[in-house]
Amino acid sequence: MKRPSGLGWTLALAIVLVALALAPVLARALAYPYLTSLATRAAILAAAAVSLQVVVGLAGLVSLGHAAFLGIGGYAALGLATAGMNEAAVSLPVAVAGAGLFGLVTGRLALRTRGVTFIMITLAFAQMAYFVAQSFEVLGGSDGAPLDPPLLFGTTLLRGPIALHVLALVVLIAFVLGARVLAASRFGRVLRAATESEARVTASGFDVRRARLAAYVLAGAAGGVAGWLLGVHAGFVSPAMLEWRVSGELLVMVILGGAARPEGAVIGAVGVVAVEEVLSGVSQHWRLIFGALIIGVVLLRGRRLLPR
Amino acid sequence: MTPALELVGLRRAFGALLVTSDVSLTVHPGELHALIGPNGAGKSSLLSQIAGTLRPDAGQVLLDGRDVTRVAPHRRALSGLARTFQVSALAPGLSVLENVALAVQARARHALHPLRRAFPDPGLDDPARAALLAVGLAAREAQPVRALSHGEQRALEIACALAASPRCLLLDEPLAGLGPAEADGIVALLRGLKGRVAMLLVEHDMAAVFALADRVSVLVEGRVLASGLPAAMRADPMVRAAYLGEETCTEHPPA
Repeated sequence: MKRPSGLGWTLALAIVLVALALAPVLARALAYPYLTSLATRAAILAAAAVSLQVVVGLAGLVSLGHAAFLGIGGYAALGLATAGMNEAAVSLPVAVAGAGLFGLVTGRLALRTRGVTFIMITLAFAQMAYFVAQSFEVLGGSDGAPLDPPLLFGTTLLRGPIALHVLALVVLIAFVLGARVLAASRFGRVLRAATESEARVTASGFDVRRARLAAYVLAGAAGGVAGWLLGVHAGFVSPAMLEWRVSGELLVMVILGGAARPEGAVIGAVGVVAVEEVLSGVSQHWRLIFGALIIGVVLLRGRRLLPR
Repeated sequence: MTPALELVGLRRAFGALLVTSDVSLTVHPGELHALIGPNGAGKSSLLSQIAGTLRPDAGQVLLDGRDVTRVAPHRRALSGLARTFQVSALAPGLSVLENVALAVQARARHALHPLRRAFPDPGLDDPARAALLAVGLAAREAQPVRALSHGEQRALEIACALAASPRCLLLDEPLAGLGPAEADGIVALLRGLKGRVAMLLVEHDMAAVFALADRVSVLVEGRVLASGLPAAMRADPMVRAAYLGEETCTEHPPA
């Protein structure tokens, strides 16, 4: 079996990260500030995709409900800001804890199942979260509500596009490094082995379901961070963040990146954002072209879309 | 002496089909107890109930005198019960060494450490290498499991079980599909374990069974038909008719 070497992935990742990091410079040179915002968004979605890759690629669980974690992160920021506590040092930990708790509760139930049933249950839980978000009239109901940039320890350091861009890049790099360390760790080995033979891992003396739950909770908490960033960057949080389409897009990013490595998720996410941006400028029917592109990539990559 | 493994009145049905019917048997420390019986007698189902992956409807499983009937399979493994599978259950993409090291890791401190590198780690790798050496696979440690032959995979299953330093070992047809030379190697390995590890051996190779077993039980249609010393079992006319005696049946067709 041919597999790109670790070095090749690292190099590809480095190129993508440098391109994202240079976006503000290019934006200034071209007097086109939107480019910075686009790169920030790509970095945040890439971080979200990396968190999903831990579930899909490392733990072997295909989840179609990851948007719920993003939404919880976003609503943590919005909810606290509405309550007069627009402070990152408070709302970010709350986002992490809230998303992790949601992962713990829903994961315990969802992990009783595997395969297609797991996909459907994660989707169902995310839809429940979506409708709950719609019912928060005080937070804008189904329209959502604007979110002012939060303070950071009482300072305005997080205001301004460059600060947020740097923060998004730092989070992205931390997630990729974290996912790599996790995959190579003792915990990661148990997850990898369990995707290949659950019986072997159980007979060795591991509680497979508990290990998977830990991975699911961890990835959910990380998804909460990405959602918090997404809300702060957009300056707006609405139930659309929890829509199943968002979960689907994240899954597409992970799968296009090969699913097996966090670097792939980054490349998949940045690629999807870039292609969407270019195509939507070409035609309003860009999704048609995008669909054809996905089919093309799937056919070309063929055998090894999901780790097995 | 407390038996290493004791089954008391174990019973399990799948709908109307009784796969395990009031099975009681013991395996003493260091003893090799062979379980023979025709295909479909319920041998693998019985092993699954002992290992904990199949819950019995009634009866008890005792490990070292402790009732583990309701204990999860991974906890039974940690308390000294190891098993090999009839159809190899290995992680084919992981290396040979990693498959064995998993069993060592489960018993190490910080077995699920999320930061500590799994490989290389001498604390896990060295005991795993010792188990690979015992089954003659030391030279293949770096290869993925899928590169191994069928016979080598059977040996690897045993290495994984040994790496857990079990007190009781369940072996589900470890010789199935092996060539004569490979089978001899496994038989010699199991003989070397006798006296140290309690073993329950399910096997169709009668020459190996009678060469290794301290006691033999015959399972037919989920019931223990007979149990005793190998010589007595070989001579028992009921056992011969039910299982060993295909030729007996052809010689003396039922009236």
